[in-house]
Amino acid sequence: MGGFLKHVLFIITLILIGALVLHCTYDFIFTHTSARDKLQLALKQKQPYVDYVFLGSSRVENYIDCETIEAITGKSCRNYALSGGSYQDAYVLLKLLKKQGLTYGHLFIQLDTGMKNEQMTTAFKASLIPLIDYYEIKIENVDLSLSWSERYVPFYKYAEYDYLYGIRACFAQLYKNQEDNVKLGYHSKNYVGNTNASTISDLVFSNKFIELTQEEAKKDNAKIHFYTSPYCVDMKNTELFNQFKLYYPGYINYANFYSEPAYFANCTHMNHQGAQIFTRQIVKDFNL
Amino acid sequence: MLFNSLTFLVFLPVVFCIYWFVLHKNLLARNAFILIASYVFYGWWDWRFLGLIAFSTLVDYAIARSIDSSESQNRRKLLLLVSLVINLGLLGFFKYYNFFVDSWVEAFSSLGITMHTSTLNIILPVGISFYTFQTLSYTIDVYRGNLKASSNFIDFAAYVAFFPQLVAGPIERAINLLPQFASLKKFDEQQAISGINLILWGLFQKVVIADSCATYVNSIFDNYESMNSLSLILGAFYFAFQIYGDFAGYSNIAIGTARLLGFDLMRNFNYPYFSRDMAEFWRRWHISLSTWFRDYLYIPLGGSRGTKWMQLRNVLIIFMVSGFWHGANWTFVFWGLLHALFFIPMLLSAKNRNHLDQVAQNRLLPSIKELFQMIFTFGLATIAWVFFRAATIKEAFSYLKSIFTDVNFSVQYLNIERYSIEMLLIIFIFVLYEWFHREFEHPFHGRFKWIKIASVILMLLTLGVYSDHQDFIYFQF
Repeated sequence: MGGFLKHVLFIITLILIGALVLHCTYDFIFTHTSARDKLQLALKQKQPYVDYVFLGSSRVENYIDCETIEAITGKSCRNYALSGGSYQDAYVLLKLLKKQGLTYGHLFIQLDTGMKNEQMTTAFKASLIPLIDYYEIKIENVDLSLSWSERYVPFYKYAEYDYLYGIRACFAQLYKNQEDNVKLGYHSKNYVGNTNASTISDLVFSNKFIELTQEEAKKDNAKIHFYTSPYCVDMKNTELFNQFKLYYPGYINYANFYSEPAYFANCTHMNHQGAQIFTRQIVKDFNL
Repeated sequence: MLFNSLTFLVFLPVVFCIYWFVLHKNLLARNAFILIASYVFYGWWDWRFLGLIAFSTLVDYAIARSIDSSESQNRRKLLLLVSLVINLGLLGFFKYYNFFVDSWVEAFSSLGITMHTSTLNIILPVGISFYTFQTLSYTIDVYRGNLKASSNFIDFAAYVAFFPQLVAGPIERAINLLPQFASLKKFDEQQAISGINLILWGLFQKVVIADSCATYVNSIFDNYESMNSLSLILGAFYFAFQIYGDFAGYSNIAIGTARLLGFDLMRNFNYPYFSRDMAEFWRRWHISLSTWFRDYLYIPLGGSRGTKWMQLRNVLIIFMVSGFWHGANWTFVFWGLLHALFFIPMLLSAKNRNHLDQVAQNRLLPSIKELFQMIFTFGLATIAWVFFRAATIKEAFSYLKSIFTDVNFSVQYLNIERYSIEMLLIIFIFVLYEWFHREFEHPFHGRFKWIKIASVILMLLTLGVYSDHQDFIYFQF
């Protein structure tokens, strides 16, 4: 039994040492390299004054080209939308940006079926986890505490989210530094795709984190704007979005605004060509 | 309970400690404990189906006892028939009922006749195909006189439900495993060490190879219509390694776990992708199932005796039944048929027993001829895997057709935000590991044993898939 126990103990020791070394290495890489995504940008850099700030999901990230807005208006613009992000993610990001000094004139919130989700997305939590302790992140109304395993078991927090923050993300952090790409925040989809439509249903009209974001904008004396980004023409029940007008003053429904399939990468996302046209429409309708 | 779960990480050491340190003097208590642990292991997934295992155990225990004590050949035959009907009846109902109803309706509708029938919402009990075959082999062996019926119900129940191999094999023969429950084991250090090493290697095969490949496979197969030739080839290639890593990984963990408790299970995989022909492949892939079909179906049908037509018939039957065993879908039957077609030419030319040794035995590298033979055999197996993975036979043909009609070999960026070729390096490393240790069960041998263990641990930590861990594919069979 002695030899067996020694063998097992040796394997456990190797696992622990490996986990500890990797834990420290990953921690170092994520905290000591320059920003690769919008969250890291919000934590690692001082933020300037921005005239137009856009928050939301990929239905903002793929739709609003800030370079175009800056070229037309001569004012500064940042698209801080996160692909797959929720309204809680957007709120946390805004708070972090503000901590780094961000001030802004106008805040744009895109409203859609994601309203029913008041949770933080797994992807956003995964991207926060390596940074929470290092940057001592604390935000009112948001639970950012690490679990016991995440805090004390070496490498657990990376294994838990390996798909998002595993070894590929580490290498990307080191070798594919995307700071320049995330500065203005627009990510385009450069293809015309299949616009298989579905039906809008289960729409809700309030979200705790939209309310909190509204309060933030009010505190910051910024003007807040609401709209819904376009869907492909086959999307059904888009008129339901009109009810947002009852709750959000100045709201504009673009859900069924474009009928041209060539503008869409899929039914819920515009491609680059569509985004350029839509961005100009936003500039015009909101008098930017 | 999954082998690659935290629950099992707690369960196994607890079972190990109670088994060796608390119950070290009492055989009955040990076997009863294994039985309880096995039922906990299975019940963790769904306790409702424990009754099914208990029923199957009771039936085969009682029938085998009756067969053993009966003098009349007719009565023995009748009892065997009862066992077959009950066991295959349960398997047929839970696994194939809906399939037969659907196929029946489809067949009639193709003749223009509309049938009004409904399928049932049947949940497939995990591992039913495995433990059914295990209990069947026991009753058949008792009937044949190869084995005395067990007089100890606890031993027999523990044999049927033995948790390391309960849900996905290896399909153990009573003749090998049951006697192991009859003696009080002493701890064998070397056996336990080899068990731990096998578990480690099995985890690597599952968590690093199979689960990583699964991400790419799902992305490519689910969107095969928009994939180019290179991606489609890679999708099939990755699936070949996914299913191998998944099932061989499970088998190795099962065998390793059994060894920790002092039991020896049969080897289930012997580096099948280093086979030089399809016959050799089937001597190395899912060995416990292949030999089961050989002993309980192929040989009773006449095996390789009789006329060529008889031999052909037997090969076709065994491969198609083997395919059908995997699942209630025509894709599996077609997969079996394809393998039969690959095998038959060798049988007809009497070349099916050409390669009984290990490839490149006592040599570092294979000859050019061996290399081509291995690539060709792997290619055939991979083509067949497309039918195994696809949802329908039509989809599989469409997938294969696109490989040849698209003729675009550029690297594609998949919807999982990864390039299609990214897995190749990991698979290459895995193949090298396997090649240089093909004489052994696992790579942890020799002077650099600890370096190899450390590197596998490092790869487990860095390349393993934990956030989205997948069930073992063979659970569904």
